[in-house]
Amino acid sequence: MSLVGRGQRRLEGADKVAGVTRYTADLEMAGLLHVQIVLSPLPAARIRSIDTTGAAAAPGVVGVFTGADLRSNANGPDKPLAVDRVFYGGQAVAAVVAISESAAADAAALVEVDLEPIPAVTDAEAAMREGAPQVLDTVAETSEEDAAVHGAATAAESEPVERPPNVTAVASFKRGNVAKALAGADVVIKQRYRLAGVHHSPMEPHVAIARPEADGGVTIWAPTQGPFALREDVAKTLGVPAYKVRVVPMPVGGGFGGKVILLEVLLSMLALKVGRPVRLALTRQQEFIVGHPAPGAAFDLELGAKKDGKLVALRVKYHYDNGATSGWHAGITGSFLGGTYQIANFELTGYEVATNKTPVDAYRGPGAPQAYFALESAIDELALQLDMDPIELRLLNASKEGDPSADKSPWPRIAMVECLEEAARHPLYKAAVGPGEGVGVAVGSWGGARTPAAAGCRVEPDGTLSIVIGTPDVSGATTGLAMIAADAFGVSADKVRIQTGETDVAPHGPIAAGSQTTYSIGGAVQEAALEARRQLLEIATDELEAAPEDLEISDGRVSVRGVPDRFVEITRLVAASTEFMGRHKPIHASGRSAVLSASPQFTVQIARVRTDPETGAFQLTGYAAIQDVGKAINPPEVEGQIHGGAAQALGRALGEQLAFDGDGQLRTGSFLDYELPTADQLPDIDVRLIEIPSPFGPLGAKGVGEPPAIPGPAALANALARATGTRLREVPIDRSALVKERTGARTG
Amino acid sequence: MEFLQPTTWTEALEMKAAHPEALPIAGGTDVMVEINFDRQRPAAVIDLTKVAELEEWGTENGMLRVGAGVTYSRIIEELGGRLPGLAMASRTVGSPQIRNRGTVGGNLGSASPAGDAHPPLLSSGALVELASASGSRRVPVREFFVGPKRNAMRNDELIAAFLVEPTRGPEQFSKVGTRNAMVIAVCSFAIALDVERKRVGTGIGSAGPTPLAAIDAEEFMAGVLDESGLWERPADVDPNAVARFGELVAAAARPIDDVRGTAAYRRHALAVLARRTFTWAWDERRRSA
Repeated sequence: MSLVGRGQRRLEGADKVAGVTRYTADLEMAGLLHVQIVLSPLPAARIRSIDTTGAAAAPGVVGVFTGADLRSNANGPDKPLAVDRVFYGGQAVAAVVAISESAAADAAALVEVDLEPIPAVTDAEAAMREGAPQVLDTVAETSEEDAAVHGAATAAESEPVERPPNVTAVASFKRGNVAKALAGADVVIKQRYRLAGVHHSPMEPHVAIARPEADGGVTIWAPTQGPFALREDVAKTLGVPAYKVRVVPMPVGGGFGGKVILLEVLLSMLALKVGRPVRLALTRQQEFIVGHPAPGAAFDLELGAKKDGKLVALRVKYHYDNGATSGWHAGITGSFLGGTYQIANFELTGYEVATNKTPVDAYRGPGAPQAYFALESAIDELALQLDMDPIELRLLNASKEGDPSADKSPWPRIAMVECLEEAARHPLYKAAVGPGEGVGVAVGSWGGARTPAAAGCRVEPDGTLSIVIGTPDVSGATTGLAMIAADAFGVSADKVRIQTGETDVAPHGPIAAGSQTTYSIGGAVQEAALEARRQLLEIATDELEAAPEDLEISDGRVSVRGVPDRFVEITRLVAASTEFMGRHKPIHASGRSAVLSASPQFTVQIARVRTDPETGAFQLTGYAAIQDVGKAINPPEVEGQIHGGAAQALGRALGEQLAFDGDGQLRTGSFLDYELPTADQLPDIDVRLIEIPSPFGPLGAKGVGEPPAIPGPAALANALARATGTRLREVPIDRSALVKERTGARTG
Repeated sequence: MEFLQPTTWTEALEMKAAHPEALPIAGGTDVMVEINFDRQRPAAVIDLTKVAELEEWGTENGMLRVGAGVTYSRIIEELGGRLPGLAMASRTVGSPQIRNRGTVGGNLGSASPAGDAHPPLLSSGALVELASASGSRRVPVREFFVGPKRNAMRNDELIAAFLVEPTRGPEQFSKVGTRNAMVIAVCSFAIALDVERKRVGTGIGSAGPTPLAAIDAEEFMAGVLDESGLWERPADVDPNAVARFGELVAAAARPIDDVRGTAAYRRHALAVLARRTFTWAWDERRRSA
C-alpha cells in the first residue's frame, strides 16, 4: 500500500526531541578559535578611527581586524566589516579572534571605535522626504535574483517615474484606466494600512564555523538553507572557484528565510587570516540587530466596486522599509495585489526605500503577508460597506484558471474558489456570534518557486536506501521525500535515509525556500529510487533467472511474483554488487528533475475572537486554515507547517514588532520586549486540506510552507472589526484602540 | 567578578558588610537578565540560595513571616489560602520555570515598578525585614520603594523576609498585558478588603516610577462602605461610588508612554481593573457574609 498520503512521523524528529541532534554550536574542532564582533552603536557615522591595541593585548586574543584588513567589493552596508562609514546600528566594525568565547567578548569591549555621527533616517516615510539624508552610497538596482530564489517571479517593470530620495527601485503594474473606474465606482474604500518590521526569531541564532584549507579555500559548517548559494557567494568574495568552498550543511534550528548567508564571508576571511578554524555564534541580542529581518510596509489603497460587489478599480501606492539595502519585495507584492481578484483597472506602485537600519531579507512568504493584510482588510471593509457576506464578495471576484494574473499571464489551475467555498461551510464561520465576538476571514496565496534538482541513491548493505540531496531540511520535508522514495523502491519509509550532502559531493539542490523543497526535489528523489530499484532488479534477474517485470520487492526481498519461495534477500544482492570478486555492477542511481512551471497555492483562514471592550483585550477563540496543497505527501507534516505558519503570521498582529526610537536604536531587541505569540494566545488551529493536484509537482504536490504564514493579520483584524466596530489598519494591534469608553457608571 | 556563597544567614550578613557593593542573587530571574543584557557588571555577587533560613516561613505575633528566598511556586502552594492576593499575583509571574526560581525577596530587591508581588504587598500593608551585621529593622512596604528600581535598603543590608497579616477579607489581583504570560504587564492592580479594621488596601504596578498605593481611593471607598454600614451588612455598592473609586486609582498612577502602552491607556485600564477587582472582592464579601 502506498505510503504517500498517510501519516509518517518525522524521521529526524525523535533526535531533535531527545536533544541528541548535533547543531553547529555543538561541534567541537581541534584548534577552534572564537570570534566576537564589535557593533556600531550609531545608525549612521563616519569612522574616524578604530584603536585595536587594547583588544589585541588582551589575554587570549589571536587577532583583531577591521574593514581595512578585509578586501571586499560588496556595497558599504554588506561589507564583512564596515569601511569608512557605518550604515546602520548594529553593523559590525571590528572583529576579535580569541581562544575562547569569553576572551573574545572581553577583548571586543576594549576595541575603541571613534565614530562621527552623520544624519540618519530610520523611518521610510521620512527617508522619502526632500532633503532626507542619503542612506546608501550608491543606489543598487533591485536584485531580481534575490526575489526569484524566494518565490514568485517579480515581473515588475521599473518605470521611469520620479523617485523620491532613498527609493532604490519602483515596482509598477498597470491595467486599464484606474482614475475613470474609481470615478465610476459606487463604493470606494480609501485607506492606509501599515505593518511593522518583524524578525524571524529562530530558536537557533546565527552561527557558523569556517576552517581554512590548504588549497586556499575554506570549509564552512553552517545551518544554512542554501548550501550551494552560500558556496557561490563565499567563493565569489574570496576569488576562488566554487569547489574550493566546501559547505557542510548543518541541521537548521529555524530558518524561515533568514538563514541563507550572513556570517560566513567574514568568518572565511578571518579563518584565512589566522590560519585556524573560527566560530561565531550570535547571542540573542545580537541576533535581533545583526540577523536580517523582514521589512515593514505601508499601503495607501483605493478599492472601487459596483453596488453588486464587482470590483472595478484598485490603486495602491506602497513602500517597503528595507533598512540599508536595495530591497526586492515590492514586485512580489504587486503580483498579489493585482492578481488575486479580477479587477479590470489597477495601478500599483511600490517603492523600495532604504533606511539606516539592519538590511532586510526574506521571511516566510516575503511580500505576501504585507500585500494580503492591505488587500484583505480593504475587501472586508468593502463587504461591510456593501453589507455583503465577505466570502460571497470574494467568490464574486476570485481569480480562476485562465484569468489574467497581475502580469497578464493566465492563472494555471488554482483553488481559491474551492478554499473559499470550504470556508463558507466551516463551523467557525457559520456559528452564531455572541456579544463582543467576531469572525474574520482572509485569503492568502503564494506563487511558488521551482529550481532544477538532482538526487543520488544507493542501497546499503542492510538493504536500506541512502538518498543524497543538496537541499537542507528546514521543515520536515525530507520525511515526505523518504515516503516518495520508499513507495518508488518498495520499502517502508523508515528504511530510507535522506541526507543533505556536503557541497563537495552532493547533487545540486535548490535553496530550501519559497515552498519549493518537495516541489522541486520530489521528482528527482522518485526518479533516483526507481532507478535504484531497476538496477537492483537487474541484478536479481540474473540471480533468480526471471524477467525484471516478473519480480517484486517486499519485506526486504526480491521475489518472483506468484512464486514466493523463489526469492533473494536485498542484502545478498547488495553484497553481490559490492564484494571483492563480485559479479555485478554496484547500485548507483541518480534522478533529476526540472519542474517547468510553478503551481500557485491559495489559502483561506478564519479567525474568531472574543473581545473585552473595557480594556481592549481580546482572545482568539477559534482559528481555521483551509489550504490547497495539491497532494499532501505527509498530511500530519503538512498540518504542522500550517500550524506553525499561522502562528507566525498571527504574531505579526498580536505583538511582534521591531520598534526603533528617534536615535535609531532598536527598542524591542530581546524576547522581553519583542513579543512572540505564546501558547495561551493561540487557539487550536483546525486545518482543512484541499487537494487539487498540480499537473507539474511530484505526485500532484504543491508547495505548502509559505501560504499559511500569510492571511493571519488580516483575518484577525477583520474579526476584531466585526466584533468591536473598530477597524485596525496597523499591525501589531494596539489594544488601546479597541477600548470603548464607558457611557455610564456601571460596575464591572 | 567575585562570587560569594554564604551557607548561613550570619555569614551572608558578614559578607555583605565586607562587600557592600556585592549584588545579592537568589532565583536570578532579574539579576541574570541584567547581566546578560550587559546592563550590570557587578564586581561581586552574593548567592543566597544556600542560606536555608531564607527559605522558611512561619507566624510571629499573628503575622506571617515569609523568608525572602521563598519562591512564587511555594507561595502559591503553601500560602495560597492565607495570602490569596499575593498568590494570585504569583500565578501570573513569568512561566512555571520562573516561578520555581523567582522569589518575593528578589522582587523587592529589584524594586521594579513592574514587580508582580508589589501590588498585593502594598494592598495588604506588608513590612519588609532588612538585616545587616549590626541588626535588623522592619520597613513598611509603602515606604520601601523610593524611586525607579530603588528601595530603602542600605548597602550593608540584605532582605531577610517580609511580614504580612493573613487575609482579613477578600483579596484580588488583576493585570493587563499584551499577552497573558511571559511579559511585563502594561499595568496591574491589587485590592485587599480588611473587614475587621474596615480598611481598603490598594496597590498599583507598572504605572509609575515605583509601585504605588492609591491612598485617596482607599480612603474614599472605606468611607463609602462605612457611611452606608455596608461593612456590617454587605449589599450593593452605589455604581457611581465604584466608578469614582476607579477614577481615584487612575489618578494615583503616574504612568508613562512606552512600547507596551500609552500613559492614557494605562490610566484607563487601571480604572477598569480597580472597578473589576473591587466588584469581585465585594461579591465575595457578600457571599461569605
